[in-house]
Amino acid sequence: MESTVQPNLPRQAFAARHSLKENVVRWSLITVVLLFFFGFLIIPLVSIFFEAFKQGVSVYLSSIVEADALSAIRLTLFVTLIVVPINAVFGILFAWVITKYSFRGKNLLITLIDLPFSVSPVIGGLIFILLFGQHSSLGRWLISHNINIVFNVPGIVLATLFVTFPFISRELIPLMQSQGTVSEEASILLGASAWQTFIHVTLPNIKWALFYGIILCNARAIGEFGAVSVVSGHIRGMTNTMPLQIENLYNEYQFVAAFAIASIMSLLAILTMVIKVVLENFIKKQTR
Amino acid sequence: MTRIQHSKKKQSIPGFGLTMGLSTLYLSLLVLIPLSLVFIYSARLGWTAFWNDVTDPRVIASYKLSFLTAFSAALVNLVFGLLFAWVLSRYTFPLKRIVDGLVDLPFALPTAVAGITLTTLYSEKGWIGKWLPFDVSFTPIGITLALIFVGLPFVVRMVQPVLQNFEHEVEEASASLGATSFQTFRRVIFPQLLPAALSGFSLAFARSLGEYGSVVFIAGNMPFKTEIAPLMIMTKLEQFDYPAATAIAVVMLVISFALILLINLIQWWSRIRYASH
Amino acid sequence: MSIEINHVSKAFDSFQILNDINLTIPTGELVALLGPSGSGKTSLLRIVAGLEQPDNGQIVFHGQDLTNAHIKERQVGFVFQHYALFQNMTVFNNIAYGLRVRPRKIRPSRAEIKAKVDKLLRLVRLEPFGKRYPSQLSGGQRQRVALARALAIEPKILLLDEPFGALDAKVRKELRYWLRELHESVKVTSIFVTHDQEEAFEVADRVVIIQNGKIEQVGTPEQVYNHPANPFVYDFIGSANKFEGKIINGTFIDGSFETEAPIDSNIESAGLGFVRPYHFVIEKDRSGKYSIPVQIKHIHAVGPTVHLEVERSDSHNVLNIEINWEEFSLLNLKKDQTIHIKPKKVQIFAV
Repeated sequence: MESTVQPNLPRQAFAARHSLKENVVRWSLITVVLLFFFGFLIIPLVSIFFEAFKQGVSVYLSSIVEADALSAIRLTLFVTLIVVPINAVFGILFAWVITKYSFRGKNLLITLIDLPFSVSPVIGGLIFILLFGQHSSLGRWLISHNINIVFNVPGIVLATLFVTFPFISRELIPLMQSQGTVSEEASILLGASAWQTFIHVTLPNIKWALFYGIILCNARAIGEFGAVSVVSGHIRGMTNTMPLQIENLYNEYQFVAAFAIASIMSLLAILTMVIKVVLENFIKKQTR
Repeated sequence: MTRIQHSKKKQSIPGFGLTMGLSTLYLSLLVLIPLSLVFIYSARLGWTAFWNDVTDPRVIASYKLSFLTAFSAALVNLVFGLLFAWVLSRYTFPLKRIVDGLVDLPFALPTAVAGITLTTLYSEKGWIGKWLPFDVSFTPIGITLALIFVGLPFVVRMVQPVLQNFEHEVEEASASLGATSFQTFRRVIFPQLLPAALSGFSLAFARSLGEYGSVVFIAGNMPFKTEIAPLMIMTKLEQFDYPAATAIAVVMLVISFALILLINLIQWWSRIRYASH
Repeated sequence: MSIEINHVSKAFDSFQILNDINLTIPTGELVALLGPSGSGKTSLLRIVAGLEQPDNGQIVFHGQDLTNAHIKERQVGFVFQHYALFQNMTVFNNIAYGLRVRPRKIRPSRAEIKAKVDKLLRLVRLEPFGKRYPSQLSGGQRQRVALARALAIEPKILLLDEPFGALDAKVRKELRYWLRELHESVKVTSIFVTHDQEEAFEVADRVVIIQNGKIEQVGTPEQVYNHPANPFVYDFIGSANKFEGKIINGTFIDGSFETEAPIDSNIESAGLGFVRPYHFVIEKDRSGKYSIPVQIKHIHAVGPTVHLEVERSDSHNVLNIEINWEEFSLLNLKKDQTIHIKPKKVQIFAV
């Protein structure tokens, strides 16, 4: 540091010394980040597959095609197929309302939409037990009419809807805010309806961000554990989703089977990340 | 209602009434009404019963544990999140694209998968656990590790865009005025990162407080020692003690709301401070 | 179609953007709203289009009150400052958009749409560019697409918000000329907003000067330029030298400078005098009380017009003077020289 104030030091030497110091800082920071990255992300990821294939490919395959596992996969897909489209539609709706109109209380609305992010998933499950369980009059009435929502598939759907509620609007709002309302105004002035404007003008401008939001929402919907765990009632082959099946197998010391299902879910997560990287380039182009 | 009527008049794009109505309906049905039920339900318990439930020593121990582990994890994530964001936006190095792409993995990886994996890795015979001189599984350290894993992307993803949009001229101006790189970072860059870093920290903290799936496996769930608050709710529910479960949920919700308020205040403060940006 | 704007006011929070605006535009006229930024001109345009609602007042198109009518019913063509072209559509599809979104009953056939778009492409001289995307066009070309798109719906009224604001100087000049020509051929009642006076004077039939949400003057370019209605307009249009003084018995006095004031009043009042830089006669010796002693501070002698920056010997205020090169070389002026200047034409306003 002394050298920086010495006026007669040659410029080049000064620059060299400076960059040497900077190089040391740079490479030690990079090393720390890479070590952390490998320790915290890569090793766990690799170990999932290692544990899954510990007893060979045939054991791995047989744990996946096992009846309970298959029914868990089916239920997870079923729930996801309901949850993601509903939250996609309403996510678009939220983003549209927030970015295309001006009204008071907009920030409050944004905060309320983000609420499920900050609420424990366990509470996300609890609220539907309180609403539809034995303890509420609505719940008792429904149960007496043979409509079981909690400890059943509808409860899992509701809890998953709650937990993945903000995912899509979160991705859309910043993009749509940066795009403004001028294109929509131009479309309305040319005689288009709000719906035509949305389909022809807004949607093409947000399609990649929407796809990205759907991918993230999808990943969370598949993997949600806490909320679903509360409302499911853990009935094997009936209300077990993939994460719940993993828990059951793990608690029964069937580690290979647990990690076999975990490995499928990890592949989905990695795939999500790959799609994410690809999509980000497209989204950047649309932000301008 | 009169306010909405008033604003309806000035919208240049039609459809405000319908879309606003549908949005608030869905929000109310799925989020607001169910969440308010927690408060309504616990209000019916009466004050003494509520107070007894939330101040039960075992419950208190779980708040303390949750708060401590979530705070430590968020702090670690603040430091490493800043580091990741800095390295990813400033330097080029081998594997950078992969690191950048996989930082978000904890968002996409199911928490139960993270839970069993970390438990296996850090068990006495696990790949990492066998090299460590102290126990990780079934201790607060294990819980913190799981929460670090879950919360890592928050700070990175909040800070990275700020760093990427940072004007290089400002740094060069600082350097031309004779500041060292460290001085430039501390006096020029860091103050502008602070709001984003704090928001990321608060988000990671909020998420960690409520986290369940990745923690229950590694925690061991021993009363007074490694029981986190969300697990207490779960335990009370399994015992069909709904009042107690709801009472604990109320306390956690209040903490969550306080954190949301804090995040909004930080963002409001940074908007005022850096309004020109 | 004529436009009547009656007593229109608009406030945002406590800030009055438009204050009791009254303006009538006869059918076929091309009017420029000219004013500094923040004067409210864009808000007025958006109110006429229906993009914003006024707090008070009426918007009347051809005798029909459309104040509360939806944008769609107004049938206005609107050209945005930054074009607002649909990035995901080709030039052709951009222009065809307004026709294609019509309800089936009144929607033209595909062939009709194609014929119409081709005609508009010819009109804006972009025939070869129909298949391109907006991002593949230059700024001037995009602006022409925006105009063609607005004209495709055969608007009764055309509104342009700073249409050339985002273009560079050379393209601007070309497009100005072209807009004038285009207006001659389509003859649709048009309003355009600008902060560039040269643009307003060159293109418009009439110019409306707006400041702080109020109309300062309405008139043809010549009227506004040669007979500014008040000090603001004089100061805003072209450059001007300002004299601050008082008016006593028909005489304007500012320091050692005096001139006749055409204001008939025996009461002493504060007054403002304006002189254009080229309305000065330069004298080496003082010829009477109407001339002002000044010292030359700076000479900028590039081009046919010479700019002099002079300082008044009495008040030390700086004045700008323009004389032609011949006169300059004849007088043989030098820096720091003291001369006398006599205004040929002074406009006096009582304040």
